[in-house]
Amino acid sequence: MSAADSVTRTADRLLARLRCAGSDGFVSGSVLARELGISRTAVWKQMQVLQGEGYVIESHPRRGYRLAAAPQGLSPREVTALLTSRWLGHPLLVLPEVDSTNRRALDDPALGHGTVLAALRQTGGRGRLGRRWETPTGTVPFSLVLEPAGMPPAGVPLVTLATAVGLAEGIAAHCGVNLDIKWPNDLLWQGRKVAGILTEARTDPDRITRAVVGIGLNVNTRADDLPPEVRPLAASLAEAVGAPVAVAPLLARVLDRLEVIYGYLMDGQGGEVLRRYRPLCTTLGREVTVHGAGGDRVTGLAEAVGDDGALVLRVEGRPVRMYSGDVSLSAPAGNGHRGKRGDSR
Amino acid sequence: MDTKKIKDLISFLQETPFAEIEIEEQGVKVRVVREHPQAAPAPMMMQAAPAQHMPAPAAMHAEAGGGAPKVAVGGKDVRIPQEAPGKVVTSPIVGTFYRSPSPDKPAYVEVGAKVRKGQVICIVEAMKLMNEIESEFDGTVAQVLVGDGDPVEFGQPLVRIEP
Repeated sequence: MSAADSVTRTADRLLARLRCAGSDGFVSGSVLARELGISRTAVWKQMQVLQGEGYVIESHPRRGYRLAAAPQGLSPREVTALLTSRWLGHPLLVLPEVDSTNRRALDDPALGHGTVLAALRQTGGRGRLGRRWETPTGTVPFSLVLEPAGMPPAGVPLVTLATAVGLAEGIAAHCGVNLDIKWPNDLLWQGRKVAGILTEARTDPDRITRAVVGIGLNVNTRADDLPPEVRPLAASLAEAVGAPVAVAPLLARVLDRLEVIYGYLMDGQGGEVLRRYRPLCTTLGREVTVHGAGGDRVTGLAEAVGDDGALVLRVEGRPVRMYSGDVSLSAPAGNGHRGKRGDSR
Repeated sequence: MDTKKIKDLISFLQETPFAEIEIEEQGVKVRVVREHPQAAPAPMMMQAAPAQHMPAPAAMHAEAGGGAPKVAVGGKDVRIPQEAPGKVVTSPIVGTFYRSPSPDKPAYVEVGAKVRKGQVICIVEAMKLMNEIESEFDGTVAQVLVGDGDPVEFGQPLVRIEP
């Protein structure tokens, strides 16, 4: 263990002790020093470290120290302190700046199963097919590394649906905001996008070796910080709640929830993921057009999400399974056009 | 008529005891013939490819099953190359095939390019999961068997690589 790790661990223990203080919230410096086996000067130094990270700590000559507030931003110490997950978020790494959390996680094979890589600033966020994903201040970019040993490739695409479910459930539990899922995995509030998810995986024919799930979550994003063309399409959790949202407890809750949902997949219970997914998916029951990469499009009634995660459209009376593409609500009926991607089974 | 429908026909034929199927749609006639109708058809889906160079079960018939399916388009027979040299990389999932990481980027590989085992040669997307498909072999790209943006089936051959 390095000296820096040791300092970090001591600060973690101090925080934990302050969080279980008595009714007035204070713990004396001598009690802290005795319980942690360090000097009172060392206690004082640790408090300086924590304050430097955004913790608000009151000190009083006789009563001692009191934790008045935790950092509002993306504090790795705070997320880790609040996590109850067993493997997801261990470790949790926060970089000051990165081009793309997904690219960084993909490029570093040393980041193993369960690693979460987040960043305070992301300069080159990417969406599907290399599209740019804007990451203004207030939007939290993070990537999850999954090495789902033994998961057959056919179950792998459900990872993206599972991610949408975990995010939606975690957000609902933490701040009471109920988001909709647009197939396959955009999270919307009042029809505007709150989170985007892009998963990139390496596979050989038998199994997935490594998947990196990239998430851009608009937590405290302000409309002014978004490019004008994106503003009408985006929303933030702060907007939905009507107040700023503290990042660390939110992220901890989301990661806890994601671990549970991924657990279903890894235990071969994809059906449970879909049972949770379908009621959240507002694409179902609507007349939609799916636009393919080649300019082709398929229009029909979105009538089901299959057990393989496919969106099943009813086109001219026949079910057509869609596996990719951009979904939009259709123009009024009658403009339907069946593209080449139709897969009739 | 697109190739997808023809592949579906081949798959369908393989599930039946029949020797041939012919359909006509919008003036285009397609006939799919099994060369050895008495042979047991191969299963349509497999849990996982047992060997890396095994031809795909759906679109191409495995040696263990019946004869190579032969597709007739517009009265002209087109034989699917069963014994082409080299090895094929197949799709691990149902999805959409892409030759490049994004539309404005060059393709991962062109025909004639040298590739090494583990090198990314294409992407198959399903539900916004971008699967980077690695070559399982060292060699030279002999043929890209699917068009950019086309749908692919589980086990469908994507790229043929010659040693």
